Amino acid sequence: MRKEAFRSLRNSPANALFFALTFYLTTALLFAYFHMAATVMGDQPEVFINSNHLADIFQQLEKGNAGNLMMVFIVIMCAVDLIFANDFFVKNKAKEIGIRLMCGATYTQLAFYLLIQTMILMAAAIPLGILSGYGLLLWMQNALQTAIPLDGYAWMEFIAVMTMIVFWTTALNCSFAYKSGAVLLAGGNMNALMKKENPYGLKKSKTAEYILNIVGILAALFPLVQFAYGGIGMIVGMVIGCIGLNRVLENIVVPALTKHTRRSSTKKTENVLRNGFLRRDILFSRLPVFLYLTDILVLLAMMTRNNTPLEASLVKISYGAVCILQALTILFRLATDLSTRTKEYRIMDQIGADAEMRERIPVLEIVWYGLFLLAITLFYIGTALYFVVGNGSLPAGSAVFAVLFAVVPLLICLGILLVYYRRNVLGESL
Amino acid sequence: MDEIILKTKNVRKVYNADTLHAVTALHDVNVEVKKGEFLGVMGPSGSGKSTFINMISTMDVPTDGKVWINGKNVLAMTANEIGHFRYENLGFIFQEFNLLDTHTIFENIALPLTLAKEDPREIEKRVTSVAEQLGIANLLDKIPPECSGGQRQRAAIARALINRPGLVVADEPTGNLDSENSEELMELFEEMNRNGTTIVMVTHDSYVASFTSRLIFIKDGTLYKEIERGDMDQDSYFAKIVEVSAANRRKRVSA
Repeated sequence: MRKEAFRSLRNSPANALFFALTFYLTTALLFAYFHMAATVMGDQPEVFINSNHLADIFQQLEKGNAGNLMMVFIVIMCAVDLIFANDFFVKNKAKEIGIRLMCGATYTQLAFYLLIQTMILMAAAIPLGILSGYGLLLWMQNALQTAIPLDGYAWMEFIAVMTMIVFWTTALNCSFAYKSGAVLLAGGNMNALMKKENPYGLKKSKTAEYILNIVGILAALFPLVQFAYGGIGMIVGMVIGCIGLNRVLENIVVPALTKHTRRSSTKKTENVLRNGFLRRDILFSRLPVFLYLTDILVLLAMMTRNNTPLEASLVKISYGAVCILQALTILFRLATDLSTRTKEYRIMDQIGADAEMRERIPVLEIVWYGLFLLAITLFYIGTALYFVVGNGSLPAGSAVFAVLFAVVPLLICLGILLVYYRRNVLGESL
Repeated sequence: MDEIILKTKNVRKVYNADTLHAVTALHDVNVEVKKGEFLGVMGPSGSGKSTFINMISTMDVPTDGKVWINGKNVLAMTANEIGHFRYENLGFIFQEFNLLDTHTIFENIALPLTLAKEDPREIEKRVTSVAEQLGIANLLDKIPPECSGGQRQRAAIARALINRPGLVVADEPTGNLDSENSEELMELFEEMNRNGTTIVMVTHDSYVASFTSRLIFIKDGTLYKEIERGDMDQDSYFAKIVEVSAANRRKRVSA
């Protein structure tokens, strides 16, 4: 079993590397975060330990310091990132797992097999992550001229959360593997993307659709109103914003792309193929994109609070690390879908698309997807910064930092995605 | 004299050639298909049917021999020329439909026309027209996973016919369909054939094969038997096909 687990990792080094990279970044972030948070909190009450009443927790969160506010947020974001990393890691093993299931492997055997692989990757990634997190703390001490000691309580919190993540990852591995294997055995395809027609038997008139689209646009813009005038809280604002954005993408952007393709993009085969793939990418990656935008805007709102220098550094570090993690999440999500696209390239070959055209499509697709992602990111972050820099609640230097960290990791991840696409998907289809 | 649309001469295919595991899948196969014919290819699993269809549809290259389609030697073409040749001369229909799941039915059907650089208005007109003929006009903005198996196969047929190819190649087109959809599909093939489309279809189903005008049987990579429908009605032709298939199986058992 151990030998097979090693062999399985060796057979898909790119997947293993990215999975380990996610663990590494998560470890480094959490290690640095918990120590900084312990220093920031000082003698203030720890809301999650001392209070058992939900109302008290909310009250303390509202009045509490940056460390308190972000604790749950950061841990949830790390866990979400691991969900997508797992999906990517296990999806490519679906065939292997399907065969094991067919041969009669039990759930426990399958779990053990995957646990060994996860443990091997964690054994490499976690120590490196702790070292990097410690390095980050030393750098912060020098930069801020503030002592951030290694704290027993922070270690305890860090170990507790990391243990939870290890169990969480293993459980996810098993459930994803089991599901993917079963879907594969049943000859599953892309039904997940199928749009259900009138799921409750309700038919909406054209006017109703039009009104809902307008409401969707307004809801999508709602988080920006928060930055302009303040309001009900950034997280709630982003939930409303994401619901609106989902409506806009699903009912306005994607249908417009379909209509445009039908009307005028048929002049060039590349445009038809690019638009179809782009449409799929937009719909398939919307959840991590929504989370990415939520992270950016919530942390941006945190930056505008009256933070102490250490709190401000903590928020900035969290912002940078979460931007990297969320860019990786988008990468994992798209790579998971792209890994199933070999069939599409084979079909293109059968129809008569030449090799040069098939080489061009991934570049066109990723460039256009990148433009979409940058446009949507810069629209939100740009408008938010316009308000907060304009009213003096955020210095211009922090705004530049915010834009750079929102854009650069995304661009790097899209570059990596393109290399993966051309090598693993296009390469296999030829 | 009838015009020959497809001709193979001494086509041989060896997989893993020059290794210890070399397997000869086809032995010197010679076939001629006349324009307007509906040729069926039958044979047991592993007999070389799919290899044969891959050779005649430019999907694979024979180890030896020659293949002419519309008088052109397809083996003398470069990879890019083969691409052009495919969308100008050939239509493909597969058991798995082979539609792009990421693209709408309209985009799938339009692809051969966009490759041929047709005008977008002409593309819209022709796709709509062929979709109406095949009863899938209301599905043009849907993606394949939103359609039934029969609808997807109709979309695949529409894509195969959209560029009015000289030859349609179908590999087990009814393999993923229920009996009702299979029957409908074969009636559609008959109609296409009556309208002048040349079809070469691989099948293992004797009833489906009874819709063809001529049938060749492949066994262990060689042409084993050939029967022509001629004046026979479909029932008699079906009985003849079953008889030949059964005789073939009996020989295998007694051997």
